[in-house]
Amino acid sequence: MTALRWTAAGLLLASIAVGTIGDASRVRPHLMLGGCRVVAADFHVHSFPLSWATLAPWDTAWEAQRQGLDAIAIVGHNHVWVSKVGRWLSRMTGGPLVLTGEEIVSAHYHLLAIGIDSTIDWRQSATSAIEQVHRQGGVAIAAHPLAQYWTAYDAQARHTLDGAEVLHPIAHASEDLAAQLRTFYSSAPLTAIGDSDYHGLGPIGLCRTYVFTKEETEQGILDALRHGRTVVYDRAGNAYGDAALIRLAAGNLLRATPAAGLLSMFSRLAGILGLIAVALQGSAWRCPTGLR
Amino acid sequence: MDLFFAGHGPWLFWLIGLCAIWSFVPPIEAFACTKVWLYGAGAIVIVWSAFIDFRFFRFAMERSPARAARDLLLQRLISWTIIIAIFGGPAIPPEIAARLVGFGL
Repeated sequence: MTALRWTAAGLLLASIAVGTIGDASRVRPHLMLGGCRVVAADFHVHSFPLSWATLAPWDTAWEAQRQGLDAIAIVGHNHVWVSKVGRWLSRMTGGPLVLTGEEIVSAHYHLLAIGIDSTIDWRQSATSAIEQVHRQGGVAIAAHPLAQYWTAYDAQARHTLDGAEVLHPIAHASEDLAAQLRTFYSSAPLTAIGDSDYHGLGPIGLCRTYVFTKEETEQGILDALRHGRTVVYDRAGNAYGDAALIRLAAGNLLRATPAAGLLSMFSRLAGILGLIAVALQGSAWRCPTGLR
Repeated sequence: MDLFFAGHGPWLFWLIGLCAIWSFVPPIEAFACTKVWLYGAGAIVIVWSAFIDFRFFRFAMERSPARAARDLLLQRLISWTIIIAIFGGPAIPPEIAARLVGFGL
């Protein structure tokens, strides 16, 4: 074994060991406010396969728990079966509450259908899709409703829609995009939703929704979403959602994402250097010029 | 066999770059860096790995330049179609439709 291989192996082992020792899940406080249990949730989480995502359903649920989330909705792109797998595995392993769902990806709009069991066809209008979500007892949320999607939501669609993502990672890209999300949210009486649209990069729950639920069950959360019992905070600390709940929650919910500790940073650095050493060793980057 | 997998080297560096961004850049800023890396570095990697694989077919498999190019295209067609189908799945048709709508078609 060459020195480079020993170095690579040593760095990767050190990264795994130190990362495991130094890893700590975000605290999930059992918070009761106004007689409701406050649940930290992310309703826009994708999982492998078929949704441009990298984490398997079981890893997705465990990572959500690690990020201090009480509930997630795994939403497949135009399918629900991966979310069912995720829900089953999370139940089996004592993970967070996983709601089934689908992100209905059409050419004109993206719609989150939370709490449904059967796939809803994307080849229909937003109004018709929302009606089908409700027929299955689900909740319909406009996913990242930027200006390009507004025409798909006519007056009837906005009237029947349950909620809209007022906060999404794209809001961090530019103030213009953030304003577009806020404009759509303000255009109708909608439940405020903050979602991370997780595909495998960045932490699940980077943008999250605090749901005020009577009971910590799937039905309890869906009921709270239907009745607008949510609060969402953006990075500047601005709150969106039910005004009474915002007052009630003041000072209790808004917490900055904890910075990575020294052990975590060492683990990351050792891991990256170890991978570079793996890439450099052998013939992994050499261009063939002839038979050996 | 080693020479065939040499074409994976550029992709490995690309993935390590992605890991480095998400390891050291705060998440909110990392999205912007990721976009640049995914498309900017991705374009370089596509060309670089294609060059390596072309050389593999040309010299390791002793193909003519035209045949090596054809084999490279065939290999890309088979492997990338499968990868895109597994990752993208049922959202691909509406995504294509959305782009056509965007171009006014």
